[in-house]
Amino acid sequence: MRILLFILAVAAFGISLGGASAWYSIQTIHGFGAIRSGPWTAFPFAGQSEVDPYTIAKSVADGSVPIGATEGLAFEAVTDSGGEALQMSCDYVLEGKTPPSKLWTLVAYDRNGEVAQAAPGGRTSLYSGAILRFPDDSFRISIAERPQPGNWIGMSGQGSFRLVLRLYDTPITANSGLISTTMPQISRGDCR
Amino acid sequence: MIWRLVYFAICVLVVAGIVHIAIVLLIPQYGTQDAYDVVSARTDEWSFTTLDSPDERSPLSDIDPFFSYGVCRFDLSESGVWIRGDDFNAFWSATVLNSDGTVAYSLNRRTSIDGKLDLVLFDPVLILRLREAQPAEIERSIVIEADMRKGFVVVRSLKPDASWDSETGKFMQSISCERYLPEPAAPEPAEEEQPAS
Repeated sequence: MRILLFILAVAAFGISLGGASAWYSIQTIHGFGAIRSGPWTAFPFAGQSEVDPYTIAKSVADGSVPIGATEGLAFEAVTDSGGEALQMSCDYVLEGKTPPSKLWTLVAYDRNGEVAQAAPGGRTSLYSGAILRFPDDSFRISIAERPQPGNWIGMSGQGSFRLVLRLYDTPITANSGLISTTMPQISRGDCR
Repeated sequence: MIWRLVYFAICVLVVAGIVHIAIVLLIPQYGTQDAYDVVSARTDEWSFTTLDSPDERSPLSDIDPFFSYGVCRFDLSESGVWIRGDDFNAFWSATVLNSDGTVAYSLNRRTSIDGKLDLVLFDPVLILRLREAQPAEIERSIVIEADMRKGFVVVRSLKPDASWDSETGKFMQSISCERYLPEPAAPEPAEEEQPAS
């Protein structure tokens, strides 16, 4: 009887622990070989044919289509440069340069994974071809609910959001991170 | 007592490890929410479908609003697939994925031949027939050996603002996705006549 109880207890604990750890790692770990630069993270190997099982499981579980390695690379930020989670109730300033690429887009997504709702007169996505730059090719993007001078991302809503910067046709993927990845800084301004 | 607890903990960890690995490895086989299944529910095989209708949510998650997306599902078990599109001057890219959503091949406008989308996919068996036949019509295509049966191709084309809608739309409309099998190599006339003589 004690043996049976022992086996049952091992099975119950083992299955729940294994299930929880599998779920957790698929949700949070995006596979191996991430490129990190400040708050930005990219997974260049998600777009190649040799992928680790965690990345496959993740793309199956959330139905996403990775950007192929020859197409480009997506950098994602869920925190600012200080490590605090990005909140729609705060203002942010994105400043700096991106790694070389043919073009890039910056899109804000809400916590449900949808493109964030724009504030009146604002937009929640920017394209590199239509952006104001400084003479040294760097740029500054203000993220705020109220209209801002220069490049402006205006969102309305509550809760956390994430920023995805997609570099299309970039040499970073070909060199596995040998090119320095200078990504823009995200600094937090006022919060409401 | 303490040894009993250690023994119990080790047993739990071993079971947990097996369950963890099994779940991660089995998700691709039993998952029903992956991109291929979502695309299957919305599109027919062998037809290129543009995904962005304004009133509907795109079936793909994590899409870039500056791009127009189109997909074509194919099955390489009986024939190859030939994906062709007209010349388009703005940036476009294409990714070939298998049914797990893993990228098998990707290209963009700059890495294509003459900036044209012209892609032929074959599985490793049928590609041998292609090598034998060496058909002239796909001389200028990119031929890829893809070790998969069912899969799909996603084409993204840049649409920076609404004024691009017609141009991008025209390019997406021009893309065809059809079965392709090389004609068996024509027997040489000299060889055919030999047995008769």
